Amino acid sequence: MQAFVEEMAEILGVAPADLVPDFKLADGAWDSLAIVSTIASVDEHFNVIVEARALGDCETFANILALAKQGA
Amino acid sequence: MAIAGKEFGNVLRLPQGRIAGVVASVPKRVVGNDHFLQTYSADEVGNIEKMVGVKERRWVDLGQTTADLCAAAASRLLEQLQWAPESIDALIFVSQTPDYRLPATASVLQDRLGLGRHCAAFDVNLGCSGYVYGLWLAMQMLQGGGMSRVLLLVGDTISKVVDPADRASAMLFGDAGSATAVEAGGSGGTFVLGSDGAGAPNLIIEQGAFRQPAAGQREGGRNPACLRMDGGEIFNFTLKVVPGLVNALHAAAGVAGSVDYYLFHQANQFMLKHLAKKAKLKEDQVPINIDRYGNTSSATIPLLMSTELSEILTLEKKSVAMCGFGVGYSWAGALLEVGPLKVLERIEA
Amino acid sequence: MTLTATIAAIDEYLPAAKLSNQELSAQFPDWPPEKILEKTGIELRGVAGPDECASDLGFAAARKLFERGVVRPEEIDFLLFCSQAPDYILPTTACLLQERLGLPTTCGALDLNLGCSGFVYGLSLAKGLIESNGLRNVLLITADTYSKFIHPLDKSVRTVFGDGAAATLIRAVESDQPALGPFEFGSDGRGAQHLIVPAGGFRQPRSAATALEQGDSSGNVRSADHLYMNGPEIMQFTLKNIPPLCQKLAARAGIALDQVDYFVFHQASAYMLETLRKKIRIAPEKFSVCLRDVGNTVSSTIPISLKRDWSRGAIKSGNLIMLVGFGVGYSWAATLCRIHSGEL
Repeated sequence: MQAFVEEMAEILGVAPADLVPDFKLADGAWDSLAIVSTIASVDEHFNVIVEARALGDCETFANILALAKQGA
Repeated sequence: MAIAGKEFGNVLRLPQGRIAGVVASVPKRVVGNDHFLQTYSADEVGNIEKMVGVKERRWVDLGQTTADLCAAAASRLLEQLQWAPESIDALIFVSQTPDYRLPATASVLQDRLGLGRHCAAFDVNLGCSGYVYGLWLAMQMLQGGGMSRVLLLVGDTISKVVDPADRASAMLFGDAGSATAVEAGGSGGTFVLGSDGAGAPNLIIEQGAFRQPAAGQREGGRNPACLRMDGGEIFNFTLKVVPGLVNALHAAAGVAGSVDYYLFHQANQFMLKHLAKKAKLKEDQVPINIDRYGNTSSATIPLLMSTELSEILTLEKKSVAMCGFGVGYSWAGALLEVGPLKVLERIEA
Repeated sequence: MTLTATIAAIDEYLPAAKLSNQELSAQFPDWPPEKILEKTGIELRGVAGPDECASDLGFAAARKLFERGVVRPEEIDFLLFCSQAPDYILPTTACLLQERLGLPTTCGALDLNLGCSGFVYGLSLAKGLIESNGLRNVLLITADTYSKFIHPLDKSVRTVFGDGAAATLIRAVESDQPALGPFEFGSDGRGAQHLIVPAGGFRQPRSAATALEQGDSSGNVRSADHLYMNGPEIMQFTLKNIPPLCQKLAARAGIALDQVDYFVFHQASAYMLETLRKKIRIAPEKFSVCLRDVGNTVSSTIPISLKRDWSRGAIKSGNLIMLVGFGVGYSWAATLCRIHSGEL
């Protein structure tokens, strides 16, 4: 889990400590490239392929975590 | 024989046909990432470089087309193989950036290259899956015994259709052409081909052909006459199809573990590394050159062979898997023996 | 017994809107309707609507095949779409049709850019798909909308071309006798300039300069964005190349031309067909002329004629039929086929 948070922090361009569940994705570098990276990261850590469209609807980091755990 | 009901496509085995040589051609003009600093911030450029993995790419000049790149590659190839132009039985031009709406660019190239009048010539419109489809078509034409040499020309100049304001696309794509000589004999190959038009909207040029003529206006900050790509959707598709495609090839050929190289369409470095890891392939089995050439659409696989495997494949015979996937959606996998090739090189045109 | 590719079924689709000789004559008063009919053999041409693409015509033709129960969409193993008027620069129109027609995702699909020779090329690919790759059902859709390339004031092409589509099912059957082939092909890119849309591809993108209209010596108007046809050059090419092509194909098949029961040539124009027929010495009853209410539909003329001539009984089950396509490119292709069927 820690490795996933670190990767996501890098993708969003924030410090891992700041990446709390309530973190607003709009406050980070959340664009189409970040979505691609997130799909890979979730696949690697949770073995789940999340839908790009569902990721596009996410507002907080918690939403992403929910998608990852939902599929697992 | 076809094995019906396979999830990732019909498995097609062609008993004969082999690659005699490959020449890839790239434009002389090198475009480094500093080029984009005129338009984007250093942070943006750095971020995209990290994600898509492209450090430089080649772009054609205004008057240069895909056909020009392919013609240069073909001339060099025929010369190096010492194949007389009249000995070519068929020419297949695979591209989404042809010279004309009509006639077929293949007809024009038949004359430019001095091929005989008996030569069959046609264009196929396919992108990322186009090289593998083309290789299969070329080999298929050799099966009946009526033809013995096919020239497969594959390439694209996507730089002409990217929106400079769309930074992810603008920095991802490069231009390249290629020529592959396919001849009778050899051990043929195993192919898996499939399509899913449901994915069409995720990689598309909406305006400029017959569904919607170009209106010449930007819409929602985008130019609808330029390439539109939904990277996330494409990645989803890739993750679903490519591992299955590789497995289908392994299963069909019964050779998992004995494949020497996996040549993937160079879609995006990040995506490729992830795919390789997921499919548990060794790093040295999965060559990558997207850092120097970008995503050259249909030309990535022959270009990859010419820059990364030119030494080994001119000396030895190797078992090679090829996977093309993307725009359409369309995908194609091939497993075949390649080498020792008489010519495998990259030229500038 | 081995698997042999055979033409199993054909359906055509023409757009609802038509262009008549009366309408043309009203626009070009020097050309009375009778003169247009005499020169071209055409009375009516289909004209695709502003929102109607070649793929829409092809879709409708393929739906007819499915609706009459010849084959189910899920049985199609491969889709070949032959057209010079694709929906998009990318993606491939065949992929869009795969989805629209409900074909399986295991179906290979590709677009073929060829004109008048395209149907015969498509048959050759379909034969390979069945006999070398072991597939069962190949759907070949030919469709074009040349009306969209044509300047309204260019009567040299407006009188000739019609929009239309055909869907042809090529199927594997158990037989010792080949039902399709051999094939003869040829290309001569020196002729590219004589039948061309000069702008709109990547050689010369459309611009204000390419849209500049000009009149020619015959009073026709067009720009580089439009279709240009050099009729006399095309005629010369055809007369010079097509008779030897027929001889060459017959020789390859080991037969004499008079053993062929029926000839279906690309329906370029009545005048060209009649000249060719006389030159090759084919009896009128063995020679298809089928353009009166369709016009020259480019890659669809051969399947449309084949189907219509079959339906009216001019072609019988088991007849040896020669199919010959020629034109834009220049590109040409010919083959022989036999159809054993009640209904086509």
